[in-house]
Amino acid sequence: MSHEDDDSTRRLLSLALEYRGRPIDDLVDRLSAGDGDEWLTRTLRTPTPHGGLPEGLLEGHWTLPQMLQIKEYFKRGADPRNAESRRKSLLGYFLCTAAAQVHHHRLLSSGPREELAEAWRELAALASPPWRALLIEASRQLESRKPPASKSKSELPVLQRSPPPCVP
Amino acid sequence: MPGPLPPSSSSPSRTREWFPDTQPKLIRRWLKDGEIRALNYHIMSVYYGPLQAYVRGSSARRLGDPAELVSEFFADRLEKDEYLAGWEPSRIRLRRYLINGLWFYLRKRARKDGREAARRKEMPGTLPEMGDGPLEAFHRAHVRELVHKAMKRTRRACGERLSTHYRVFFLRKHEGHSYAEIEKLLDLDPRQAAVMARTVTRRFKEALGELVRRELGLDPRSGFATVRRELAELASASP
Repeated sequence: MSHEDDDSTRRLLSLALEYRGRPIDDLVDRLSAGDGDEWLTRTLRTPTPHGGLPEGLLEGHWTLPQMLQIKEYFKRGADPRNAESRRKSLLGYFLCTAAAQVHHHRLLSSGPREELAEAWRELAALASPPWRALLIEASRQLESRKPPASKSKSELPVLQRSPPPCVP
Repeated sequence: MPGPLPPSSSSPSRTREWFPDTQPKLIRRWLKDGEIRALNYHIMSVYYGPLQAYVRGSSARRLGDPAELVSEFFADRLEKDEYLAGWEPSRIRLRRYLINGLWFYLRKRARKDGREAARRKEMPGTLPEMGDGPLEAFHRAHVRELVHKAMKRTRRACGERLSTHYRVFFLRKHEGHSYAEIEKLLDLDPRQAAVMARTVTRRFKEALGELVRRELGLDPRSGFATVRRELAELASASP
């Protein structure tokens, strides 16, 4: 056996030993399945008070407060005991944040920017064309943008009190 | 591939059928059913390479070609049903049992060669005691085989849909190419390539974990922490 073999083995072994699972893994697995595209389309075929979800996210005619409302719904709406519900919730969350970044140049997440950009890119590599373009553009914008100075809560868009959108 | 999920009303004994057998269970079952061919095939497919590495790293390499010596050992010992039946009562790891068996076989062979050499008035062939060096070589080869098999399983798991993902993973993690080189090779943004490799990493970790559980005889439901300990033990012999 050559040194190259040993190097590869060592590299791959440490990779497996050091890998830490992330919440997005399950969503990535679902999108990687043979019917991943159909699942994504089916999941997004969801009525909201502001119109169809795919059009709203892709075309950018939703206002920022509307996007924030949908994002919050996805973020808080998951049933933690139900894997499918968790996956749908994560998908909605990542697509809403990506759409807000692309159409309004606003970051609707307080998580680490690098992790968010990486998640968008990971999903982009599995999503069908219109979503792929949206996710790649969002991560490109985020990676090329300097982190903004810390923002006070009063600067964030104010949400109207309205019933939650009819999403899964 | 695992079958469909068992119905939730399954009894515990029924549920256990859905989990892959551990190595001790498999060996016990094959011995009980007289499935010696299946058993031998399993042992040879897992330990042929590591045992050769063991011979290559020890003084036994003077006795001949490692591949031939290990084949002879398998032919001599695995033909006898009682050889593997003796493993369970020994209460030692299978890999250790096979190394011991190989070593006894090689000593016997060396003594026989010695007697023949004496008859021909030549220097007898002898073997010193076992050392750490060949054992480390055995462990290294075992890890290499596990990693190699896990790569093959990962490739299968990625299928067509993730074939580019797998290619990126292979080039980066196996071949050691930089993402800048991969960009030239596959015309992929380096940041995009990095997350694609990450997607496959999880599958690789799962494949490796499953193999370690199965081949080292761990509980199939044991967590990755247990797998990590086993791998770390084997990997501690890595260079």
